[in-house]
Amino acid sequence: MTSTTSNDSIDPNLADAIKHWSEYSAESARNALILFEAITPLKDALQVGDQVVEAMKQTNWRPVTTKLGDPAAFSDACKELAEIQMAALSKWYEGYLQYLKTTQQSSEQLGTALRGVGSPQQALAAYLEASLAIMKQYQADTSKQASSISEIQAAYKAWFQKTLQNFSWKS
Amino acid sequence: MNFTSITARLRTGILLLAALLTFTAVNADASTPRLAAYGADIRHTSVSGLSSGAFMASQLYVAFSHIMVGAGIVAGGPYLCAKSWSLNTLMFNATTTCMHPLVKGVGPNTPLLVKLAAGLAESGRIDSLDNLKDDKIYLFSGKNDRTVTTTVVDQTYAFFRAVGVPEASMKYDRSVDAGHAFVTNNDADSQCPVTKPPFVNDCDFEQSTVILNQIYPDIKPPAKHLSSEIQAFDQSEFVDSDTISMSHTAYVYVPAACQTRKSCRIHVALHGCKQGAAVIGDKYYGQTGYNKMAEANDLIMLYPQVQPSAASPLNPQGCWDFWGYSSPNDPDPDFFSHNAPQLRAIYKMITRLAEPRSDLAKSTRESHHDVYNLK
Repeated sequence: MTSTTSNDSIDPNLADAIKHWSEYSAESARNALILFEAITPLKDALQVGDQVVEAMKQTNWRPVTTKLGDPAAFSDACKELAEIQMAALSKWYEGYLQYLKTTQQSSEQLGTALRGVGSPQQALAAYLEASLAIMKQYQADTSKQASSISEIQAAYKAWFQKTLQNFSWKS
Repeated sequence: MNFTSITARLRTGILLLAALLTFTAVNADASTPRLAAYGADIRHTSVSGLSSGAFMASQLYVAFSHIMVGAGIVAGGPYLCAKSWSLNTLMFNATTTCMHPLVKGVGPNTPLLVKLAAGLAESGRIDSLDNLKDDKIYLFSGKNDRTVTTTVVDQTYAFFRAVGVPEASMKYDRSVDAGHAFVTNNDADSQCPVTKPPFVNDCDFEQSTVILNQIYPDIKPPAKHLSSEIQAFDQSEFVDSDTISMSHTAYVYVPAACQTRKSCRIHVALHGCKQGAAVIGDKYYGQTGYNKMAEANDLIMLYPQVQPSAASPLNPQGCWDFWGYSSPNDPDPDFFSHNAPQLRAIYKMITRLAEPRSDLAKSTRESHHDVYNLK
């Protein structure tokens, strides 16, 4: 006696496409858990507080007030800030262009995916694979954009501390 | 046979299989030998590493400088880099400032790092920075490295200069079109400019040879063959914390002459993120050219290992700790001093190698002889 299962009627390409989506979902869930694990606001606040105290010990605040009126010192700080602004704008623009590029590629991918398919199942498989590729590309863009935002955020905070450091006497 | 009986038999089978697998795993762990003592010359130890391994190499090198004679830093930032900017958390600094800062001016805060390092040395938490002054250092930053940029490695150079290492004692190579990778002269490795796993690139020279050449005077070219096998050893005996992310097994290469009669120097080689043996097998500890250099120059190669960990500690990419993940509940974690969990584990391995030879070494050699047949 031969047994039949429902898998016999599923196109292998469609089975593969479903498997790829399933793997992607599992990976996304794992990444979400890692992200969740990385969020530790209380510890972060304590850490930054400790570090600020440590850095303040290295800073002599008396000359800061007088150096703030020094045009040369102030001009250097402004130049650095302008440099950061320009780099931040450039990063934003880069990210925006990448999104546009991905959007354009997505429509092309979806348009070509369905060419030459022989059955509804193959059409569904092609659609699933193409949409997964698009999803992954958008995710990569978003991840790069998030990384750029972190860089920008870190740069502004660093500039603030560096400016104070430059205005203070070295202890 | 009814459905219930089939299910019961299946369940029994699965339980037996699980028990067998558990037994095999436990037995495999139990069979990993202890690291043997070889009477090594601890006073001429050196260290090198790539990326997170390079940050870790800096930490080991500066914290335990009394036993060190040099270091090789491939795509790594300065000591204490994650402490650069106080308003950022350590992890935030580690992943931005210490890797790819937005502009040069907000890269690693070397003047502060030098002050902090001096304070640590003064308090005895690390060795005296004066020990570094007569050492030899190799630094490398690939022109195509966008992961840890040249801006960051420039600050590693600035740090060592600021603590008194003479310019003549440092070799800083920024001339190669390499991606973020350890460099080999092996056509089978990735192309030089790319950045992709396993982060070992063919750039037509053996970086391990150049590093060891820089650190040790009168070094000989690599040997054609190895006189013994690479040994796996139980790393867990050196680990005293649950959140350290170090693997159960690490590796060591001890040339035959160092096993029996010579007192050999030790070089510690630290892999980068996603490069531990758990991820890429023997690619780093067996195929980066270190062992053939060790063979020719009577060096013991020590390869400590880190593995990925998704939570507690959070180390999903299997990196060495240069921002404090190995003390997950401590807002002021120690990842840089004698007492840092990973540093003290590696130091214990080094001191074990330097202990007088014992029967343990003999028995370990014998047990390894037939078990391993690695390059």
